[in-house]
Formats: sequence, structure tokens, C-alpha cells
Amino acid sequence: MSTRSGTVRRTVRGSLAAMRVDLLIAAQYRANMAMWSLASILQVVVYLAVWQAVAAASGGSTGGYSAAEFAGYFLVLLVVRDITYTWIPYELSGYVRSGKMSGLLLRPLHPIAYIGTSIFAFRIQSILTVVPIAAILFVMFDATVDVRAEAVVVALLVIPLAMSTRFLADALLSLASMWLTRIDGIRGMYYLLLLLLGGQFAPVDVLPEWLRTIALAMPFYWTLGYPTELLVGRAPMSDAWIGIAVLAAWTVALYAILQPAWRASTRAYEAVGS
Amino acid sequence: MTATSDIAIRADHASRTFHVPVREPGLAASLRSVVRRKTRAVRAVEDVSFTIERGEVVGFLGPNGAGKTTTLKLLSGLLHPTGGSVRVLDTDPARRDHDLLRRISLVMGQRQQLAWDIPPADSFDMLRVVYQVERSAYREQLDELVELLALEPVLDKPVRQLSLGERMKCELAAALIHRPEVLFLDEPTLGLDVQAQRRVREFVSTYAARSGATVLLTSHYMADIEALAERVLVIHHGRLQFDGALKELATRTSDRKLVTLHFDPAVSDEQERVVEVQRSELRERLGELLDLPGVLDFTVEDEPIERVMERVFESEAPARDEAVGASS
Repeated sequence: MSTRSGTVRRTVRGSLAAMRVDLLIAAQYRANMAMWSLASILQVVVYLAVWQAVAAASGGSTGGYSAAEFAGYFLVLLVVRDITYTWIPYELSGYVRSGKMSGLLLRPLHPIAYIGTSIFAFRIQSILTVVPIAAILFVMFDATVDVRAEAVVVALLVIPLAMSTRFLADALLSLASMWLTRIDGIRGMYYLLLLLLGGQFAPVDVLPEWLRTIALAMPFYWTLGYPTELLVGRAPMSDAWIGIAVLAAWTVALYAILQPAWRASTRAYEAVGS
Repeated sequence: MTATSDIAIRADHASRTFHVPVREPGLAASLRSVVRRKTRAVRAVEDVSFTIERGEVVGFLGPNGAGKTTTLKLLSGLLHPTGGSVRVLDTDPARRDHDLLRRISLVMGQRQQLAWDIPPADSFDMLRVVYQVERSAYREQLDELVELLALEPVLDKPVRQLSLGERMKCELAAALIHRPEVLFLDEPTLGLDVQAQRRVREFVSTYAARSGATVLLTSHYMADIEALAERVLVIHHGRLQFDGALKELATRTSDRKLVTLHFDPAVSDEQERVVEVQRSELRERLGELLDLPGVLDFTVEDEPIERVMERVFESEAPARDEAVGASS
């Protein structure tokens, strides 16, 4: 037990040291980070504008969302997406191809913990850009949300769970690069599912019934669409425990799968590019 | 029990086979490979056995593709052996046990410990925490590394602005921040100018002597090996060809001697002649050569190690690739 807590303590200390380095790097690339955030914002604004147009053409609302509610949904989604976003599927496969993975594997710090802290460091800077812009867009698009205090409290639990679920799912997907080196195809499919079933292209309520059923059975909706619906007042508070339980179950299941998958992936790793 | 703890590195019939995709060039072959993928098993390292005692500095020689880097990757735990076993400091390195990782280091041709966008000093400090080095020990070690490698002027420059030689020296320092007991060096002087090569060579020698570290070093430059290692391992076509003292390498792998004759300028226009002689015929041929008109003096030497190696490495490659397998 003490050995395990020692390992956790060492991992946290090592990760914080790695994060400090990543914050230094992020500070050097402020313009790059700003452009990245801008691109991310534009994508959401495009969907927002399209769905507002659809609502207007359908007599004021579609799938139970008015134009103002669509704006509220997409702008909250923008923030939730930014908080939960990871780029492990890019980062890890890039490290495998360039050979940098070998350097990480030789450190007494888990490479996924290292990459995770790097992402967290960049997220801090990104959120500082995205939140004020989302607030300005909120006013510009005349957005409406039904924020309830109890929903915000539940979100404080749901969002960390959504972050861990997303992080673990992304990490699991990235491990494919240890076998295949290039995972562009798999990654493209994964992001397409995240776009469609996660509630990024449209709120899940707007999707056909059969697609909604699939979305509820997969982790994507729970990491993005659900926290967003919770914050805009669309998810009933009486069912909040279901959201928490589903996310907790996904976190535990993905963590359990990640352990043997990691061991198998390091066995398959061929240390190319170094 | 004592014998085991004196051994830092052990390879016991270690082998590593890779399955490499095979495809003929061209679009048609590319499309065919989508439905019928062919692979070939390449035995990069085969049945390699050796032990290295604590504190030894051993050179690892072999031409490109001989299996040197694969062996280092097996020993550092980056690769799992497909046959046999390896142990480093009595631990299986493939388990990537953090206690072992804190006691070893691998410096590869592709340098990768330093973050590109920030000064080396920041990366060193991160490695201090990752490797759990006490601040006082870190300060002491860093001061020593800065002095030995003359790093002072580059510590605060972003790594991307450093020259190759400066980067290599910083990478070496990064690999040694935690004072590893076992150091694997893969081509540490590759691409460096002569002065930088000499500096790195002197540094490795001093580090090994001061710290008592076990060093296994690969290099294309015989000067590196000659300066640092008394013992060498020679690997070729994935198999260990020689394990012994560097000075024995020429005697054991070469059956030739070089006889240099010096002539009297009054008698001969030729001042010096070098003649290659079979070792078994040396006595007989020496008699003949000394009878040549005008010979004043002579020396007999082993073949230079570079030439011996060249000949060994030029030998035909045995079939190392297994039959092509197909999978759909």
C-alpha cells in the first residue's frame, strides 16, 4: 500500500515538473495557441449558425431548441469541449513515429501521465482564451440557457468524470499506434463518432431515435453532450445520478482496460525512428 | 550470489525477430498489399550471450544493421526479446521497473531528453524531479557536468538554437543527471566535428572513472572505442562474433601481419614498403624480405583494427531472413 502511494506521489511530482516545462513551452507559443483556440471556436460557431438557420426555417424551433437555445447549447459546449479536449491520439502516435516515445519509456514516469500533464498545461492557457470569447459570443448571438445552481454543483462532479473518461478513451485509442505506428484512419473514424454521437454536430435530442440510442450506449455523449445539457438546463436533475454513474462506470472500465492494453502495447512496440 | 551481483549486464541467448511488411514498388503492388499483406521475419539479434561486470567500459562494434542498436534497446527494456533473456542490475529491463529506470540511461542517435523550445536548464530541472534526485546531489552533479562538458554558455539558450555538438553535450548531461549506474551510449559522437568528438570521448572516460558506472558504447569511430574500451563485443549479422580485449581482436580475427621495410636511400629509390604477410608464413617471408637489397630496418605489426573490421564486416551476409509469410 505504501509502495503504491509512493508511486502515486512520485508520479504526481514528476507530472507537475513536466507540466511546468509544458507551461513554459505554451508561453512561447501564445500566437499558436490563440489560433488553435480560434479554429476550435469557429467550428462551433459554424454549427451554431447552421442550426439557428434551421430553427428559423422551421418556424422558430427544431427538436425543442429555439435559435437562442441552440446558441446557448453550442457556446456552453464550446467551453465543455475545451475543458475535456485531449490530443493524445496525435501526440502519442507522433512520439511513436519520431522515436521520442523511446525517450519517454526510459523515464521513471508513465508516458501517458507525462502526455496528460502536457495537455493539462496547454488546456489552462486555452481555457483562458475560450471562456471570454464564449461570453462575448453569448451576448452577440443573444443566447439563452437555463442555469440552475444545483446543476452547476452536479457539473462540478460530472466534468472531472467526463475529463477522465475522455482522457482514458483517447489514451486507449492512441495505444493502437504502438502496433500500427500510423493511426490516422482509426483516429479519423473516432473523431467522426465523437462529432456525431458526442453532441458536437447537433444536440443529441435533435438526432433520429436510433442514433440517439447508439449515442447513449457509447461514452462520447456522456463526455460532451451530457455535461453541456446539464449546464444549459436540458438534463433533468432527477436523472443526474444516472449521468454520474454512467461516467464513473466508463472511467473505471476504461482504466481497467488500459492497464493490460498498455502492457501489451509496450510488448508490441518496435522502437522505430530512434 | 556474489558473482551475480558483480554482473551489471547479462544477455543469455538473447534474440529479437521483427516482422517487416514486404511490398514491391509501384501502385499495383501497393493495391495488392491491401488485400494480401506479406511479411518477412527479420532476425535482428540472434542467440547473443555475454556478461558485463560492474564498472566495465565495453565497446560494441558492428556495421550498420548488425544488431548493435537492437541489442541496446533490448538491454534498456525498450524491446522485449523474442528469445532468450536479458538482465540489467539483476532485473528484467522489459518490465520497465521505475527503480531500474532510475539506475540506467540510454543515449541514442536520435536525441530526445531535451524539450526543443526551452533552455536545457529547464529540462534538467524537470529530470531532477522525475528521477527523484535530491537538490544538493543534483547541484553537485550538474556543476560537474557543466564543467566537464563546458556547458555554461548554452544552459540558458533554447535547445532549438544550439548546434549539433552543443545539443549532444546537453543530451549527455540530461542522460546523466541521475548518475546512472549503467550507461548505454549509441553513437554518442555521430555527426560531431573532430574537436567535439574528442571532448565527448574525454567526458565519457572521466565520467566512467569518477562514477564507476558500467558503460556499453557503440560507435562507428574506432577512435572512440580505442580511447574508451579495453574490451569489445563485435556483432555482425545479428550474431556475436567476438568478445574480448581490443588488442586481441586483431590477433584473433586477422591472420595477417604488416611488415614495414625501410630502405637505404643510397641503394634504393624506395624509402619504405609495407608488405602484408600471412601470420603462418611470417618467419619464412621475413627472411626473404630482409634479403632484399638496401633494407636497413623493419617493423612487424598487427593489421590496424579499422582494416580488420572492414574485412570482417565486408564478408557475405548469411541468410538472416525467414521465409515470407502472408496474411490477409
